[in-house]
Amino acid sequence: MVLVTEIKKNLYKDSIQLMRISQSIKSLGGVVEAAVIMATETNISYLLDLGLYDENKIQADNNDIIIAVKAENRDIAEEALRHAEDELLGRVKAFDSGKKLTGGYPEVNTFQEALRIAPEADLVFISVPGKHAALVTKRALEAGRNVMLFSDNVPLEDEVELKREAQKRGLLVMGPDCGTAIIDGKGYGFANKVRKGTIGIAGASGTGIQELSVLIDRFGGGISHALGTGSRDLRREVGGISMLRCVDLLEKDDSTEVIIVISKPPDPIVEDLIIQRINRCQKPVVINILGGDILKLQKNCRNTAATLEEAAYLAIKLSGIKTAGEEEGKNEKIKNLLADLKLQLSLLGPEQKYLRGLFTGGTLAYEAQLILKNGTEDSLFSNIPLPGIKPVKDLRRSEGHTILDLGDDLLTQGRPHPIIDPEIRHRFIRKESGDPSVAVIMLDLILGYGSNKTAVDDLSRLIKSLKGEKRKSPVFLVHVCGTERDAQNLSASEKLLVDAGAVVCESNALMAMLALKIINWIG
Amino acid sequence: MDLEKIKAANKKAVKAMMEAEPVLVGVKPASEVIPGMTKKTILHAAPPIDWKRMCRPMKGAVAGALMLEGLAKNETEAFELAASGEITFDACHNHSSVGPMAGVISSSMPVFVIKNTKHNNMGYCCMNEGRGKVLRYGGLGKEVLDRLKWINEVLGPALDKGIREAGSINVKTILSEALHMGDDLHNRYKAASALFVSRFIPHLFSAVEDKKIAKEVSIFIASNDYTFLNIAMPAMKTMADAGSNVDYSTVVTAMARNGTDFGIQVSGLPGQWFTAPAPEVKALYFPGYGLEDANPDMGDSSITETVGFGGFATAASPVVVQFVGGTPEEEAEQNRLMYEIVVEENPAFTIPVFNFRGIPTGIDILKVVETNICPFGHTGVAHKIEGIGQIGAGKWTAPIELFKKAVIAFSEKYMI
Repeated sequence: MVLVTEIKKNLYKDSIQLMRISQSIKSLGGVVEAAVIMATETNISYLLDLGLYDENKIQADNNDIIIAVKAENRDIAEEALRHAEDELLGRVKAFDSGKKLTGGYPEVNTFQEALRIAPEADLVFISVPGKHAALVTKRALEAGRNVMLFSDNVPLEDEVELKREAQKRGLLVMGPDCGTAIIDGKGYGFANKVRKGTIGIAGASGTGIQELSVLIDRFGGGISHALGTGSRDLRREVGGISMLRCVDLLEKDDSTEVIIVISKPPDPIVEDLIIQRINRCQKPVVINILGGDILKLQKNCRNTAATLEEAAYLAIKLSGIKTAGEEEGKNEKIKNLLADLKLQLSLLGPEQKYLRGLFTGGTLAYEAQLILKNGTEDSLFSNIPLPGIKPVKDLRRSEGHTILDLGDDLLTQGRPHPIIDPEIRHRFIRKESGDPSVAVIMLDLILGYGSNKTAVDDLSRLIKSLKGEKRKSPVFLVHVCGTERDAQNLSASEKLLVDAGAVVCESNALMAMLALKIINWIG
Repeated sequence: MDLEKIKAANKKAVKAMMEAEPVLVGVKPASEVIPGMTKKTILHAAPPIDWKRMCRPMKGAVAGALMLEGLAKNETEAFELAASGEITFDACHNHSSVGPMAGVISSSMPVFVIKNTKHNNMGYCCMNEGRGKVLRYGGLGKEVLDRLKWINEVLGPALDKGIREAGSINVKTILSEALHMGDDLHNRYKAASALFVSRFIPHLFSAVEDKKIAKEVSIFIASNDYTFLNIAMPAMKTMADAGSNVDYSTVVTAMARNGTDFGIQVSGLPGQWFTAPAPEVKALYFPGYGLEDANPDMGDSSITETVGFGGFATAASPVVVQFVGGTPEEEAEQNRLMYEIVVEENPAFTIPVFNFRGIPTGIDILKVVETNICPFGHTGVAHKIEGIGQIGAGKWTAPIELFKKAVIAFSEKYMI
């Protein structure tokens, strides 16, 4: 047992600091007793009581600090002394409050407090478990705020009640399950950084909105606002409340000149409501119902589009922007891409005839099915099948032509969405690439806010290694859903993929059409 | 769940709390003013507890009080009497009273008499004995008893004379000013005590003819930073009581610790105590002492947090960190969290560093359970052996089980 003592002359620290330092050196391994004190009479008697008083060493008065340490050996004692010295002289940072700030506001725990410190906020973004979402959303609506409801698994009855409440108060509920919005140039949830412009979007689908917005950006246009309605808004029970409100808002908005409405086929009564509203609109509206009755729509509406790409082109035209690469150029583009592919295609074996589409964007998988339907009905499967398309029997073993939405709820149970963590898709890619009957693999790559930062690099590396492995590797078609402004940068991403041996298509529709041409050409 | 009804009831309860006007009107022996007081009654810090389960400091205080009352001649007799069943024990809170630390009040002890002139309810508390070996830490021996006798015979009557000469002393204004002078009104009372003493002493000298006594008394109260604690606590009790008994209200009207258990009461559930074992205080200890020596949290003084002071106003008292540790920034952040579990902000008492935001008032048991943010405050830590006194200081947090129990009882009563 060793006792070491040190005097720090003319140094004052308050008793709390000294207590804390004493405690911290006492807890060092091998320290038996320790005290750091101002050398007052009372404190010296403490040292005596604790057996820490070395009368040979102590020549201190009230203005001095005594550090006394009793330890198992000299090394430990002196280490403790040094530690105490460091803390006394401020060389060790005692506290780290680690408080996070967002945009200059502190983090708070309740909606009430948030309202108090940021009364100027007029949008509330809600992402709580679905069964509690209604309570929180109601509070926001009662406080007169619009809501972006990111949560999924919100009961349908709750959605109806909330949207009726919002309607009563003249507010908008975007969602539930609304993953994408762009308001005044700012992205919410998963969104791309797009040029600001005059085209407004009201959409019942997240990746649909993303694709539209990046195509518009690519073709030279810009987005005023992109509002989401949630995927169930156009069901009979909900009655399109949010979609109608979005159209109202965009019609009134000074920065919006053209409106695009996108959705999957609504309930027929709701569809009629929407069509009526669109036809009354003061501004031109492009209606894009993916998988809808295109003939009926063309009869009833002035501006209809069958694919997201067509909708983007149409909106651009209506807003008066001249763009290189009109619709007529589409067939040219496909012909050219096909020509580039001739070499790769000639290397394929006779047993390679199938297409596998591995999508992270649900709407993009949906659109791909729409396009591929004509010519592959009997042998087309999907885990989110359109009417007439066969459901996948076993996710672990694809057959025929298969299109998978890897972001589907069943696949994301307890797992992050593939846009956030692409690992699950990489696994599928390796599997399909190893399947000797596969000729073409189709992929969407979504960039922008919320997306995985290394997704492009990872995918390129994977494709490169697979193409290098065997002569008969399938053709990889990739559509990058992104812009030059996105952090991962569109052209840099496309270049990486091309260098890796993939064929890059500027839109999802184009990619699907190309895939169809390839299959027909092979077959 | 009819949240609207609850919201309205809470608004009503907290409004009453904030409108209360507590005023010091005198000092009287407990037997004369405290409802239900008898010669053989001993009141103590809440929640109610059996002699068997009392912690040692409280037992020591009880023994001292029994000797003061002449019911026992020494400690041994006192302990036997206390265990015999002849003594009626109850929580001060159940008798419109409060007491710091062990909080023991016996029949002859003089108590501050507070009247809430807005709603006419009363509050009482014993005198503060000062530092050193004192009854509220379970201190026993001649020194303690002599002081208690002096309080009974000299201090109490003298203060009463002075207060009546003044007419009454407004407590609310002193609290409000002291809050702007760095007091947190739980652990730091320097400013409030100084304000009280400076305003009171002229009346004391005017009313007490024997100037020697006046001098003795004025030295006693002037040299004790916590003189005003024992006046503020019953005043806050009357504020909390004003908000109690409101149907459907989920507002907390009492928080107290007796050194063994922690207890709360809720406005819409009058008469019920919800209890849980008192948690350890997260403390810094004086040299030579540690967790193993500490008594669990003790005292009715958490009545201050109940009405928005103490931990709920700690951002107004940066120097409190010299007593309990931490940094002023951390204290301010802890204070800010308390806003998330209350119903209102009291405009009568403001925190300068929060841009004069009113103190967070009216703890809502529903919000506590929803956010998992529990009320907190600071306190001195007593040695678990009676009579030794304070061995450290730190932070207490009310256990969440209290609020969960209260929520369950609330839903059962109101059949939600």
